[in-house]
Amino acid sequence: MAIFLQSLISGVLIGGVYALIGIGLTIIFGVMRVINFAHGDLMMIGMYLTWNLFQYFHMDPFMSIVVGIPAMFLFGGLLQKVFINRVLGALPQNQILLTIGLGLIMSNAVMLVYTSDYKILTTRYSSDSFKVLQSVVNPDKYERLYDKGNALVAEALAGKGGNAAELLAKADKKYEEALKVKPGQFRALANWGASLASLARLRQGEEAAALYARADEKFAAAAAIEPGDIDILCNWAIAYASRAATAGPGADSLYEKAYEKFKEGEEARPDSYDLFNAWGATLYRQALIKQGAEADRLLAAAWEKYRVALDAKPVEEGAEPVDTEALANKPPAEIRAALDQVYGKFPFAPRLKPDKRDAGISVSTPLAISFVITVAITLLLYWFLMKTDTGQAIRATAQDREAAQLMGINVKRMSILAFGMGASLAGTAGALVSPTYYIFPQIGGTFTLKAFVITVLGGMGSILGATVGGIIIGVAESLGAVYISAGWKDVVVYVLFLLVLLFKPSGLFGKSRV
Amino acid sequence: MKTILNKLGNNRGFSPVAISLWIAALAGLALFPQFVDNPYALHVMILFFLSTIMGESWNILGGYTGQYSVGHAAYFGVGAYTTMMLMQYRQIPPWLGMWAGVAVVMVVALVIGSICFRLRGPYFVLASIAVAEIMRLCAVNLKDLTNGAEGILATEIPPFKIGATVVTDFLSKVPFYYIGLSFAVLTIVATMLVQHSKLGYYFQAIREDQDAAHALGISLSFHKNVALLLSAGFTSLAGSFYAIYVGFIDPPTVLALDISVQIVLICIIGGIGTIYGPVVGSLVLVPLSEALRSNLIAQGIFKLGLASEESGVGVFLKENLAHAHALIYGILVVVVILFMPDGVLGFARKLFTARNRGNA
Repeated sequence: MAIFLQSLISGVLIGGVYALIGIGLTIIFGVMRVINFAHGDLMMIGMYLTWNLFQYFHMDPFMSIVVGIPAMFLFGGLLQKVFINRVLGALPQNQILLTIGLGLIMSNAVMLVYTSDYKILTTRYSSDSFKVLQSVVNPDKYERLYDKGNALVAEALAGKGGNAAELLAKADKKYEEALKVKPGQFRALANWGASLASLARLRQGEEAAALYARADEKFAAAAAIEPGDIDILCNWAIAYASRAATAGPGADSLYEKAYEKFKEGEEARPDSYDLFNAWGATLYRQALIKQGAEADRLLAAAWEKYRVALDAKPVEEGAEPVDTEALANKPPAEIRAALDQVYGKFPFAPRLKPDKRDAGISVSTPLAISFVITVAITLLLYWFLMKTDTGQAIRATAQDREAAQLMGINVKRMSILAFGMGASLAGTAGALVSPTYYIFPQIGGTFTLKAFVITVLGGMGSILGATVGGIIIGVAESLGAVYISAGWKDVVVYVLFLLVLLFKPSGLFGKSRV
Repeated sequence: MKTILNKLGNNRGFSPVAISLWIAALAGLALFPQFVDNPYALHVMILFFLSTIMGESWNILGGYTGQYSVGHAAYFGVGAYTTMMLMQYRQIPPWLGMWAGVAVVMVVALVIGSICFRLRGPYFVLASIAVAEIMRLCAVNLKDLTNGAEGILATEIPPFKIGATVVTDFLSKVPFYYIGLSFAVLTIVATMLVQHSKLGYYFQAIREDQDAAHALGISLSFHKNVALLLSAGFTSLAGSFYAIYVGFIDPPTVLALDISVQIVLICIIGGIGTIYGPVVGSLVLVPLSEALRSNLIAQGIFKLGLASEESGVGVFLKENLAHAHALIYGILVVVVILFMPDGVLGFARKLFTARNRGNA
């Protein structure tokens, strides 16, 4: 269900952009009866325009359509006036070949200037995404409450929410309710414990002690269900350590309890970076309240744990692995200085175990923005075509060129307008996908084919058809990629195309039969 | 000159002049490798033959029958893949494999034809593109069968033997030259035979007016399919020939939309629906793209002193003209469509008739 909704939504979002491309092609076809094989290349030009504006003028890709729309309109109008206009009465095959030729010129001219390297337009939101429909996708009441609790804690720990204590108090309630619905869920218990310990760190005195005690209780319950779970033990130990840091006289016994949990964790998994790192920090923290030989002993032990942690730490690509042997046998003063650096600001905050289930539906931010813009442009276009005189003249030309001419409509001007509009719609689509797609000179071909599929599906010349067709193709691709395979998704689209051509060549919303 | 053009271009059978020209051209081409052993010259000639075969075969369907297929890469690619797969995985020599390729392509063409010929005009064009794209995506995705996007590399072509004597071992370009030449002649002769046959007249009737042809009792789907079978079969030969000659195929080089467009361009530039149109188209396109690719044009510009080799313009030309052949294709198409819609051959003929009228 979640996967289905996920692909449905991303399909609709990309379908909006497809619709823009399709509407452009269908307007050109409607007014001139010319199939524009250079349509994808116009889109490619739009992408490069956006890339240049971004690269050299630092213009946001979505803002750049303000420049792109008029520029592409002029470019399209020029193409119509100089080239397309001369073949309006010619054989359809010659029109097709002319636009193929124009497309070849565009893509290869761009290749000469920019080479065929892939360009990437990275904005700060390029890979952002947000979640929607959590309550729909997780109909189970327990799951819903549990996810809500986790989300609250995560927000509080990230420090974004402002009032962390309030969020944690809310999370406390959610976990409680969740466990009432479905008792004995160790993950919920563990996260509940972590959230209580986090809350306790924000409180003082009696209140803090009471919260720590409750956290202790939850950890114990969780560990009883799932003994040896490294995350529970690690958080439990950290809770003791952070309690000890504020405890004053009774600190030593709390530290002992923390070490006990660390040891249990070590038995369960002897190579956990998080565990040994926290262990080292705890020892260092205790050393700070000791003097003389005892402090040195604790520091040496902390150093030992730190080295184990370094050994267990996954080496990042490109980085040199740390030679921990070389760090052994250092004089106490040096160890102390090094540990001050490492653990001086160690936060004794429990970590929330990130949930393996991906709750809710992830929506890519750039795609969502582009969809909103697409909808706005489409509505504007509908208004223009339906309500304004020029729009009606364009529609009249599309319905019957000769009759429109007899009624005094300047069909030549309408053709230039239509091609300009088609080009600027394609260019806009290019600008909208540029944060999410690779940009290269040959990308047009794929989109030209997609535009054909969309317009034929919706009915050649029908704007509503192209809008619906775009969404259908977007969804078909996205479902095909999930349920068949990514490699075959285009085949799904083409087969759909052939089926429509064969069984309903006038398309879903087309008026005239072929 | 006028008589020659008339004899060559018009459909009035063969005159002694045409026959003697044919014999002279054939003799010249047959003896060419005896006098020229520059491998690059042979390579250009082989590309010329290949392009002629591709153009002539498309011409049967597109030029004479009026069915503008922009999906001929499907037949080119399926032929190339069948031959290569038989050679690499089943050790079947290519001179047998290519006929298997023709058979496979004809079956494929029948399926494609039965789908696409229900449509007319621009819809037929779009359907032909879609079918070719499906074939390309199949070749990319059916990894077990076609080795996917990695393509197939010919490790070695077995020597061609008759009995025990080795006729050729395919080590030089000469055997490829003669194979290319004979296939090119074969397709031209086949086109001539078709043009002057009853079948050819049916094809042309369909091209001129489908409905009128249908009203006169010509079965549209039957004759379109016959034209497609002939056209696809020859295109498949071209594909197999290309595969063996180059020794490597992958989906973008033999099945992409570019190939389909290139095949149509050969005919458009030369002149659609004429026997020598594809030959003229190849004569224009092949030397031009080779000259660009090998930077001959840039060197020519430097020699003529139009730009210095060290200047900014010179460096730009030297680095980029080699990649510009597709750009030149585009410009050629636009110029041809706008100014000579009947191709170079049609344009030349029009020029001559205009001059003759002026003389008279």
